[in-house]
Amino acid sequence: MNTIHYVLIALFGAYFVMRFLIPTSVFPRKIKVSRAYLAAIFLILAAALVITPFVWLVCNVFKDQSVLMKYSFLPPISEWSSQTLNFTNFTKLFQGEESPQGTVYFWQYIINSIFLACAGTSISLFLTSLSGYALAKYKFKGRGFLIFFMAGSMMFPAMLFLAPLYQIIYKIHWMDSYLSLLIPNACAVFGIFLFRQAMQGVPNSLVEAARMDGASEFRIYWNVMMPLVRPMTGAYCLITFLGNWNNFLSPQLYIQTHAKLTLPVILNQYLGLYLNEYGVFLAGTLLAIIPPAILFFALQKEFVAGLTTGATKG
Amino acid sequence: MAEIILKNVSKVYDNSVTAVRDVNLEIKDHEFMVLVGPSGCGKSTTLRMIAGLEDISSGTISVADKIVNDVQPKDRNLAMVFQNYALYPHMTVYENMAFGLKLRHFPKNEIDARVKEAAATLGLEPYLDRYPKALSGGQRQRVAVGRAIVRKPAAFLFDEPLSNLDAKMRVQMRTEVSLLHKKLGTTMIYVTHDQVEAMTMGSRICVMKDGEVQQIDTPLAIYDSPCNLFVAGFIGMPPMNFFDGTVENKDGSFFFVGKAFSFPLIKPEWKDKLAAAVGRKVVFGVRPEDIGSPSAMLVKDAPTLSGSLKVKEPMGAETYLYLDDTAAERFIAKVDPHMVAEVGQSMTLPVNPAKVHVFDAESTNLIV
Repeated sequence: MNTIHYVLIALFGAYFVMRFLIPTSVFPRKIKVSRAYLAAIFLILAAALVITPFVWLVCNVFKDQSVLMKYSFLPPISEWSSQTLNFTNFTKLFQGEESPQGTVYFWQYIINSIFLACAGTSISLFLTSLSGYALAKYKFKGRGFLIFFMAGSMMFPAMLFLAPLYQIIYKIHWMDSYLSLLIPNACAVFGIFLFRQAMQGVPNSLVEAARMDGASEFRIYWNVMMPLVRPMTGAYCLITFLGNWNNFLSPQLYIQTHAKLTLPVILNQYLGLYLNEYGVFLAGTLLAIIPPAILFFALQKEFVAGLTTGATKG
Repeated sequence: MAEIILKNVSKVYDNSVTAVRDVNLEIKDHEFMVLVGPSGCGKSTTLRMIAGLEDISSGTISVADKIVNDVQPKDRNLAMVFQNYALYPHMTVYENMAFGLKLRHFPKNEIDARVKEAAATLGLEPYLDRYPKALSGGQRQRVAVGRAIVRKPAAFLFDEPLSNLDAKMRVQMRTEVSLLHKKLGTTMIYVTHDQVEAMTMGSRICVMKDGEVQQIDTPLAIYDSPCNLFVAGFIGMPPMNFFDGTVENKDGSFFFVGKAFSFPLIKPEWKDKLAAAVGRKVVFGVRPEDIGSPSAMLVKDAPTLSGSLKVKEPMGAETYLYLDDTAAERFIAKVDPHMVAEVGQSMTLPVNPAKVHVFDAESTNLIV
């Protein structure tokens, strides 16, 4: 722990004692005001703590390899020059690297990652919401058992299935194919349950009204159900996109062709036994943050609403 | 337009609960049939079976001479208005009303014309661009009705459509639905637990209890000649007064003899039925408006009921008197609001002897 940590802990402790342990009525007005200031200071410091690594990352991607370890953030302004601050890391990142399949450029990995994250999210969104709809709105024999079985399967850690999954993928010749990345996670039980819960909150009479109106079962799902669980859809999109975007293990295991690799795998290769390109690694990391950040801001409203759906009446 | 016929229709759920038992119901073309009964009597289940939203365990349902047991709801050409409106919250009023037509691939101009016509009929024109959340309960219910009428279905099914509205709006919408029926002339089946709605709206009423049909008739026929104790007690507000006792024959005249009083049963056409009931346990029924009311007062030498006044409820147009007879049997009289009556006072009120009923205590069926 460094000094900042001690200061933050002290501030938080003081705030906690004043906020929760001492009854409000004993405070004179001045203390009440100062308590509000204290809360503001605490929140500003907490926000600074959260944003610091990001600022550190942005500073370091523009630093030359020669001064990378010399300063925590940027060098003093007096030392700013093209020797200390430049785009070398990005140039190196995009210059391409040799592989058995020829030169592969960094943008190829970005495209791979974007494709896999988008395709994985789309497939998963469609299948999990469809399954959730069926479990929420259809009565069929064995439904209870199916739900129990699926809920039970969530209790096993994913690592447990790694070996059998590898064997299955190997036997059905999906090695080095994107199917091995897209299909096993296409219908996540977690997603099915999320959608089931959200769709259970939609009154049955809406489904019945649509049925009377002449809607087919798929149209009811698509035109009535999905718009009504939009907050959940936004939240699930973001969660799944991030999961796919950051997926390291599966591409590492199943993909062998260099040109098919994804960002997390390739970024990891910059920090290895024989290569320690921290600057290039950080430049890649910065670029890797951008797509999920864009998606987050685009879906922020849906995402926050999704997390609070059902929390309050009406 | 369509005639809807239910033959021996039953509904048994997986847990062996029988919701509807052997219902036979013939709803004529253009008719306004009201299914009425207490909660759990099977009226909504019957309606949902007609709509196709519930499977039928046995029997047949036919719409316009075609058996529809296995026909999908969308292909039955019926429209339904739900208790909770069931409007699509993400669609505007216009889109809600147009949804069914779009699904049936109607041309755009036809959809537009029909939606606007329905909106004009229901006074919804200023709200077509609004979302359901921006409408009041009454307006939402109108949209639900509008969504049904744009399709011009063979019959309308209403599942307690007014029960979520406040009392004033309910009365207003009741009239509007009745007027709509007169205007469209389409067959309507209306489910309610409110006997006032049933009486005021229905061409005929089907009273149900425990999944079985008790009586099907016009509102007045059911009111005047309830077939059993349940119907007599369910239809009418305040409910019919009941007294336990027996039928006795005294020198060729029949009397109901109760715990606190005896009452002459005078109609000549009752004699045969009463003769068969002599000595049996019966329930004597008389409606509150036939005790001490202005019409009862006009009957010459009317028999009377006596009791001590316990509670007086002035309703404005009439006053309800809650009285206890000498055997502590509570009965209600609906009297003129200007009648002088004080709580605690003993009262003797004339009863219209032609309007009383006698039910068999065991079978609960009407004797006279």
